[in-house]
Amino acid sequence: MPVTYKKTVAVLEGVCTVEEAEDLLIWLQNRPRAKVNLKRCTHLHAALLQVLMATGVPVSAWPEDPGLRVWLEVALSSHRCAGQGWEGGGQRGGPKKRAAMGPASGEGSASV
Amino acid sequence: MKTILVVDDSSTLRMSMTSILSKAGYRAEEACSAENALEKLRSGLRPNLIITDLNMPGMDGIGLIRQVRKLPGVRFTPILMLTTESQQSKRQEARSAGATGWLVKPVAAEQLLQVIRQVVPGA
Amino acid sequence: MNPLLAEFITESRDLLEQASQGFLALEKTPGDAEILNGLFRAMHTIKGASGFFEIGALTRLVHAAEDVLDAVRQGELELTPDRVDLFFEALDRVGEWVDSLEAEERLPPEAEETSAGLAGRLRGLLSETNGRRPTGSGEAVAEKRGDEDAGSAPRMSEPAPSWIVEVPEDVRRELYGVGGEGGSRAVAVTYTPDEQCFFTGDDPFHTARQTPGIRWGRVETREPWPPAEELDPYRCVLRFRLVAAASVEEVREWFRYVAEQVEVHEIVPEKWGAPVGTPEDRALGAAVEILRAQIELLAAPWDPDIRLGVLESAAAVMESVLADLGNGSEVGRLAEARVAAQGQGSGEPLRGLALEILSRLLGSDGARQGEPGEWPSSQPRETARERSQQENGASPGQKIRVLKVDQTRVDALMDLVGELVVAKNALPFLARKAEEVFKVRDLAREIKNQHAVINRIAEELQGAVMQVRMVPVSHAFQRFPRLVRDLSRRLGKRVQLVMEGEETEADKNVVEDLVEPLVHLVRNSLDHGIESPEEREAAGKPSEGEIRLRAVQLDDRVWIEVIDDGRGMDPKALKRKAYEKGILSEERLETIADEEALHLIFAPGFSTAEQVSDVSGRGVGLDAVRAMVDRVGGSVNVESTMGRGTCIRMALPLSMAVTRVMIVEVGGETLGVPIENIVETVRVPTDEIHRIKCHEAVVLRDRLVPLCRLVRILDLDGDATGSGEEEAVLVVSIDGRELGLVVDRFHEGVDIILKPLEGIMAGFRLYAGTALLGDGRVLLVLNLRELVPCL
Repeated sequence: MPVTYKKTVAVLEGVCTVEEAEDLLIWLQNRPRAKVNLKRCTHLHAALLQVLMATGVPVSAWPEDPGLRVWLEVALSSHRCAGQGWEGGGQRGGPKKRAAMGPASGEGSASV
Repeated sequence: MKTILVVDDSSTLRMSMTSILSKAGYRAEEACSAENALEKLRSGLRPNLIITDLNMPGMDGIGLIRQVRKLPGVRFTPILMLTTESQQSKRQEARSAGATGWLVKPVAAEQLLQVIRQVVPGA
Repeated sequence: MNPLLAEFITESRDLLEQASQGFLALEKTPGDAEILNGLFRAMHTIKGASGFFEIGALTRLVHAAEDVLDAVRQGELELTPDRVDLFFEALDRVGEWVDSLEAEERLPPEAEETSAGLAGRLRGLLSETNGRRPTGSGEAVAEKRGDEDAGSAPRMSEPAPSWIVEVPEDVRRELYGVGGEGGSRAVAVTYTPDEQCFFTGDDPFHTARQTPGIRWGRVETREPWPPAEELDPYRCVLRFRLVAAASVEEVREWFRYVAEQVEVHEIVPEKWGAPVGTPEDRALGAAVEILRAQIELLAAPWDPDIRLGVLESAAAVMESVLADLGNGSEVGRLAEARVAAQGQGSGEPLRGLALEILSRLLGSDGARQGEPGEWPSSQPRETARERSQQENGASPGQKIRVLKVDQTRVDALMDLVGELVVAKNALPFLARKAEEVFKVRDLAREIKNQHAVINRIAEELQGAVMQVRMVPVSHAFQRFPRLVRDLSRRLGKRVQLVMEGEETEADKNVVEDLVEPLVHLVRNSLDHGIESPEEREAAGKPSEGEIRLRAVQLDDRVWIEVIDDGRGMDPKALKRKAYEKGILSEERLETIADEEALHLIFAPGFSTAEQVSDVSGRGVGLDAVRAMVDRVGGSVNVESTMGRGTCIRMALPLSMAVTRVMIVEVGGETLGVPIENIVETVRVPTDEIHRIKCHEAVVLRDRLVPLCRLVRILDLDGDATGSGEEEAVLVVSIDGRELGLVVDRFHEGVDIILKPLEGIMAGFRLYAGTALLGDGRVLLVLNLRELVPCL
């Protein structure tokens, strides 16, 4: 059972497939204050990803899977930040802003 | 001579920065804390650039940037923040406070000067 | 030594000490956020500063500690005593490495291995967190490359897509390294899946995530999201952008089933990545980074009250970048954008311009070659920022209140003062010569007067320099909370450490030399003094023992006391043990007083423990204490009550730079005797000297004082039998015992700088050292404690 619906939290676990997308959307449409728990989620189908992005549902727990987490943090956090302008106009779902000005030199680079 | 204010609680880092900067023909001013830096700025120090550490006892680098950006006479000063890899998440906050950019520690001399040359013209 | 390294050593020691105290404080108030932050910061600062030197092993260990502390700070990991032990171990190693850096300017050879082991153990703690911390960065691993020669795409054939300016710097740095000999190979992929793709069984997200060599990616929508009610979950409106360390072919192969939905560009990470190569490349790299940073700054959600500062600083930086690139044509547009930005109160106009410049920089390879028309050069012009800075003027001189001075400079000053003191001592000789040889009494008096003046100034100068060298004994005390904690844990005892008078000041050398004896004493108290909790309870004492470190200043001495409320020492047991070990003769066994017997613990080879423990070692500790106390011209004293505890007191000179000695003459030699040991000088009629067996003694004010003929002991020429009518006796006190030294003549007291004996002379333990006198003679100073066994 990859998606479990609790009172106000939808728990996504393992690999969540395309079939779940519609159910999740309907569930979310009826619960404006709902959250999703992605802790044990290792992958979710693009359709589900789209639902999460479109509804802007808050995430109560991010995936433990670092690879998935990187994608989702960018895709889903920026949605909440939209309008603040950090991500830049017209660039919804922009990357996590981590660009640095000066690239670090390698460890132990001599400076003086 | 262009003046650069270096704010860092680590005396090693201040010393290294000062050494790099003065060899490159800048005048380096040091402050050991954000409070110390503000004190100097309030008492008339007008640097062409401020380079501040993020993590300091007392007010941190972000707090300093926020204050400087409100301080008449110095609020236009470019401010570079020194961070480390592990502090990436802080950068958004720094940006919101008005940081001009950041440098990742440890900073190689050449790289530091390259960035400074871009930010402080005519030096 | 490189001054930067010296600074790093000093700073790291301070920070390690702070960290050590932080951990101890945390055991009292677990989870204290401020202490945790301080600890984290200490590690962080050491790590940052260590990056200046080629000491990767140290950096990595401190880095590991920092990361684990971060987890603790986030509440993900609890600091148990075992974990603190691990941290302490790491601090110890780093401390040793810092010592090694100071001594040899490099880490010990085994540091790499030690660092890897310890860092691994520290990072192992992270797996004990609730699992929310990613343990590695970047899950993607570069895929195996196909045939290098097979139809490689022309490099830089197409301008890189503009969105790659968004790729984080760390990803670019990583990509920069993957090139190998064939140059960096990386691709930028835009994947726009078909709207109906979900119905054909595609999972574009999966396809995107699994792209070979993927390093970075993001997903975005192609059109604004409708309200949730109107969303069609099965119509795909996503777009994926990603960067992969792979060849165009590999990526095309991966996306072959959706080839028409994918754009693949080969990109050259160096061009938009780490500044490497020629200085021009690096300048470009820096410019790119700065523009990128301004773009982000301008879009950031800053507060309105810093708006002006943000806009102006960004505009000024952009102007500076343009000027540096020799591109003045944009300056006019910049001015417009700046006005517009100010008018709208938004960063957008400036940001738009910055983006444009940036994509031109990145997209057009010809730009840097200075193609005509593309980047016409022009002189940098005066900017609003420069004007604003001109009116600000230069900074006024700053007042300095505290000077940090290298110790060697103070030492040099102290040496000069010492020489001045000695030179000044020449004046009384000169006065005497004036009077006795040249018979000019007036001149002699004049010289004496001048001597008094110079003497006063020299003393004040000496005091002033000493004052500079004074440091609080807390420097020596500060390691004890840690020591007591560790040892009591190991011994299974419960001990509270109380420190008093840490602010008492003494000469830096004294405080430094204090550390080692104190460690021995405290260890001894913990090991032998304090009983086990059960034993204490049985004796009706609180189960937690107490060790008190106390510093008090008394005149020109500082008393350092180590007091425990343990089982105390039994003088009878001590005597018996000393006798069994051959330290005490049978004769002395009978006569030795209890208080004196307590001092037997300082005799070489004495140990009171029934079993040798790993804490205070094999009984070598306490005689080392006395040796060290002797060396700095101090004394040590023991008081103990059975069942109640022990107090060991070291009386140390506040300063050890200048010693006052009395000059005596024996067998034609001049010798110095430390004034601190002298009780009195008396002349004793020969017939009042008693002979007991082969020893001589004299009764002074009802005390029997054994006599010691220095002529005989030191093997000097002269009368060793006492044939004259009276003897000059210098009564000295050594560890509570009085002794009469028979000398030929007493002279004046002088201040000297005691220099230890060197070379072959170092073996003569009867002498504490030498000093240069004002008239140029060399004075041998007696080491009184060594005389006692000669009796």
